Amino acid sequence: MKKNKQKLIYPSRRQFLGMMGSSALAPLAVSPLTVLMTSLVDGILAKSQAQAAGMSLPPRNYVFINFAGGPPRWVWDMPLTPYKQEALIKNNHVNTRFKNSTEAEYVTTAITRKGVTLNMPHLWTSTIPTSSGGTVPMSVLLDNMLMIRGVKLPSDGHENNNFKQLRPVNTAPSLNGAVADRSGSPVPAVGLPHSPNDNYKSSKSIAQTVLSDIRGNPIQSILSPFDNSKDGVSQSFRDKNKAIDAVVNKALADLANQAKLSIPGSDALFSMRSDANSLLRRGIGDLQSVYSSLVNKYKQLIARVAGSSISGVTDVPIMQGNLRDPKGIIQHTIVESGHGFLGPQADLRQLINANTTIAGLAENFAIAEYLLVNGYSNAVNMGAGGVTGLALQDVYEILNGGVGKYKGNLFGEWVHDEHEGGAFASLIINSFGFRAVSACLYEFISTLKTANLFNETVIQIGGEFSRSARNTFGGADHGWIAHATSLFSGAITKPIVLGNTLLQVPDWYPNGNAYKGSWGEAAPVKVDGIDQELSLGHTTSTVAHLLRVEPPLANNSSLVIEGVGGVTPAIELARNINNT
Amino acid sequence: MKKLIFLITASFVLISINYSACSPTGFDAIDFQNSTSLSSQSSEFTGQQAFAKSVYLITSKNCIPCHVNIQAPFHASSDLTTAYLAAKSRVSWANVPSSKLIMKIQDGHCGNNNCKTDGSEMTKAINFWKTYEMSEIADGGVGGTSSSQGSDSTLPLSGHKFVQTRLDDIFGPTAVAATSGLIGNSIGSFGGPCDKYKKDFNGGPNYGDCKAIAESQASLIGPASSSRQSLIIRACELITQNDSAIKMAVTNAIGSDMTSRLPTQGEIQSLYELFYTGKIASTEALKSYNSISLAVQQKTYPALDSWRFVLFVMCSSPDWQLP
Repeated sequence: MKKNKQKLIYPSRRQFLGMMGSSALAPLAVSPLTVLMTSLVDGILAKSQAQAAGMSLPPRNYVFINFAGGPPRWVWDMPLTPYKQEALIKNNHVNTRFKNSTEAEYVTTAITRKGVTLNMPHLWTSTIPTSSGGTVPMSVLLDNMLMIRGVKLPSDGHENNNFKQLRPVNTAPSLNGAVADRSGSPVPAVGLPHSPNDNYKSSKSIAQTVLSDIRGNPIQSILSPFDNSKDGVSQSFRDKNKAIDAVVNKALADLANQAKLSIPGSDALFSMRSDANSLLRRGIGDLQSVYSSLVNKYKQLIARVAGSSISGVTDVPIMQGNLRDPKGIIQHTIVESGHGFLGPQADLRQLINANTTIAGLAENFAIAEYLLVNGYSNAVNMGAGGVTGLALQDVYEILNGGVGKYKGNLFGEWVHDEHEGGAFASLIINSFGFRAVSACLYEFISTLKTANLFNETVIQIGGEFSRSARNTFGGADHGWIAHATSLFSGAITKPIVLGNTLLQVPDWYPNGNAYKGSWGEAAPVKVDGIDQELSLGHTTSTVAHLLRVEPPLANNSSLVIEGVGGVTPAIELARNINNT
Repeated sequence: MKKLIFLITASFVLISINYSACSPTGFDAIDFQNSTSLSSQSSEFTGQQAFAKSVYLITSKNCIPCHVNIQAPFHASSDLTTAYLAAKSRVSWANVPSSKLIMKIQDGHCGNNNCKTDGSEMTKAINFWKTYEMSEIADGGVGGTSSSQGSDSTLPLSGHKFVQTRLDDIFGPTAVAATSGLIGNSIGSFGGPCDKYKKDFNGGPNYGDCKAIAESQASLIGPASSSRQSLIIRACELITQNDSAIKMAVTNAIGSDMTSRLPTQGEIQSLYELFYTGKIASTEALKSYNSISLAVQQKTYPALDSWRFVLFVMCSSPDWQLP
C-alpha cells in the first residue's frame, strides 16, 4: 500500500491571496484562480481547491471529551462486528443487553445511515431526548461519526495514555495546542475539569486557560480577563481616554509598525492588544443567566435520559436473589469499585434514578457551546466524570473475599476505571452514561449546525483505553491493547469504522486465561505500508488531518483522507481476525 | 409654567431633529468588490485597510448620520480607526452570519422600509474583511512568533514576576493592588515559574504563588494571548488613573515631579526608558507619544493628563514585556 503521508504547508490567508494576487493569471476573468479567490473571499473555499493549490485552510475547532479512567466502549462506539455479523468468543463481561433476568449478552442491530449499514451495539436502537422536548433516534449521530478501534497503546497506565491522546510526542505541540497556535480567538485553548489538560503544548507560547473548578459561573471565570466592569476605573479616566481614542489608536498602530522592525513578530502583540481593547469596550456582560440557561439545558437532557428506560437494559427485572453465587457475593453487581455489592433484595433497574448524572458533563458542554458559538475559543479540552447519584439498594460490604457487613441503601458513584465493577452493573451504568453523552452530543452538534460551525469542528470522544474484560462477571481492567476513540464532524458525512480486532485475547497477553474472549483486542491492519496494530500515532494523525494541523507524530499516517468526496478511509474498513 | 412649556416644546423639537437626522433614506447597495477589484489588490492589506475597502464603504454611506458620532457604535465615523474598532466589536469572526452588522441590516434597523436587505452585501463585505483581519493575526503569529508559521521560535515574553515587578517599580506602592490582582494572580495568562507548595526554610505555611497545581505547568516563557493584553490594559488603567502613580513615575524618570506642565520629547524618552531599559525610543515612537500628549492638550485637559495618557499607552504597549 502506498504510504499515505501528507506534508502540509500553512500559508496565511494573506500570503495565500498574495500568491494568488501576484499571479500573472489574475486579470483573467474566469480563470480557476479567480474562482478560487472568489470562493475564498466568500468563505466557501472547497477543500479540494485548497489541496489542488497545495494550500491549507485555517484549523477546525477541536473539542476533546475525555472519559478519564477508561470505561468499556463496547456498549457504544466500539462495535465488535461492524461490517460483518460473525460469532464472537463469549466473555461474560462483554454485554450490550440482558437476555433475561439472569443473563446478558452481546447483541448488535443492523442500522443503515447514509447508505452504510453497521452492526451497532444494542444501545444504538435507543432514542435520545432533544432540547425541544422530543426525541430522536440515537443513530442519527452515526451520520457524522468515525469510529476507530483496535488501537494498541505502547504500555499500560492511566496518566501516560491520557496524556498521549493529544500529545503522543513530548516535544511536539498537542493537538489542541496546534489548533491554538493558529487561532485568532481571544481564548484560543481552554482546559476544563476531567480533561487531561496537563498535556497541552503550544509551539508559539499560546496560553491554555485552565479551569479547575466549574462551580459558580465558569464562563465568566474564563472570560474574566475581558471583564473590567468591576475594576473601579473612574468615569473621568474612561471619558478622557475615549476622547483621545483615535489618536491613541493611531499611535499604537505606528508603534506596532516600529516594534516589528526591531523585534519581528512583535506587531502581533499589538494586534492582540487591539482585540483585547475591543473586547473590553464591548464587555462580556452578565453571563450568569446565559450560563444557567445553557447548563440547565444539558442537565435536563441528562435527567430525561435518567428518567426513561433503555429497552433490554434498564427495563429488565434483575433480582439479586436469582444471581447468588456459591460464595454469596454476586460478582455481576459489585459496585463502587469493589466496596460492595447489591444484596438479594435489590433490583438492578433501580440503579438509575432521577438523581443519576455524569459529573461535570452538563457544565462542560454548556461552556464549550458558549465559547465556540460565540467565537471565543477554538480548542476546548473537556471531560466527563463518574456516574453519580446511583441508587444502591441492599448493599453488602465485601470483606476478604467474603460477605461483610450490611450497609443498607446508599447513593453511590461509579468511576470509569471500573476494575471490580460487576458485569451487570457495568452494562446498566455505562449504557446510561453513553446514552446521556449521546443526548448532550446531539444537542451540541445541533447548536453547532445552527451556527454553521459543525463542518468546521471536530469532536473527539476520548479516554485512555477501553477495558480488558474479566471472564468472571467480576470486573474489567485496563484495555491498553484495546483503545478506541470516535470523532464527530460535519466533514465526516457517513459512518465509518476503522481498525481491526482479534476474536480472542492474544497468547502473549499477561494472565490471558482470565480475559478470554472478544473485547476489541487490537489486530494488525495494513497502514504505512506494513501490517501493524494501530497506535496513538495513527489516531492523532487522523485527528490532525481533520483539524488541518501538523500531526504530532508524522511517522504515522492519517487513517482517513479528506478530499473532494468528503472523508474517506485510507485503510481497509474494520474487520475481525480469527486468532482462535 | 410658560417656561416649562417652552422647555418641553424645545426638548421635543430637539429630539425630533435628532430623530429625523438619524433616519436614513434607505440602504444603498455598494459593489465593494468592483470598487476594489480583488485581482488588483495588494496582498498586504492590514485588517483596517481591508475594512476600509469593504464594510466601511457600506457603513459610511448607509449608517450616517447616527453612527458617525451620535449613536454608538461609531462604525460610520469619519475617523477610519474609530470606525474600524467600532465595527470590529459588531462582527463575529467565528460565525459571520450572526454578526450584529448583518443582523441589524436584516431587521431593518434603520427604521425605514427601504433599508431592509437580506444582508448578503454586508456578509460579503465582512468575509472579505475577515480574510485580511484573520491573516493579520495569523501572519504575526498569535503566539508572537515570526511570520513563518509552524516555526518553534517564540518571542521571549516575560513572565508574571517581571511584569508585576516592573510596574510596581515604575509606579510605586499605589500600583501594587492592581498588579498583584490582575498580573500576579494571573499566572496562566502571564507565565513564569510558580510553586504551589513553596514553603520557607523553617517548614512554615505555604506561600506558594500558584493558585492551583495546574498553574505549575504554566509556560516559563510568557504566553501571548488577548487575555494577557486585556489584563495589562486593565492594570494600566487602574494604575494610571491615580495621580500619585503618575507623579511617582515621572519622578522616577526625571528626578522631580514636572506634571504641572506638558512633557518634552526628552522627558518622554525618559519615561520610555522606565519600561524599555537601556533602549532609546525612535524618532517615530517619540512622535507617536507626543501626538497623544498634544491631543490631551487640545482637549484642554490638565497637563497631568498628558503625562497620564502617555504613560498609559506605554504601560499597555506589549513590546516592553520583551526584555
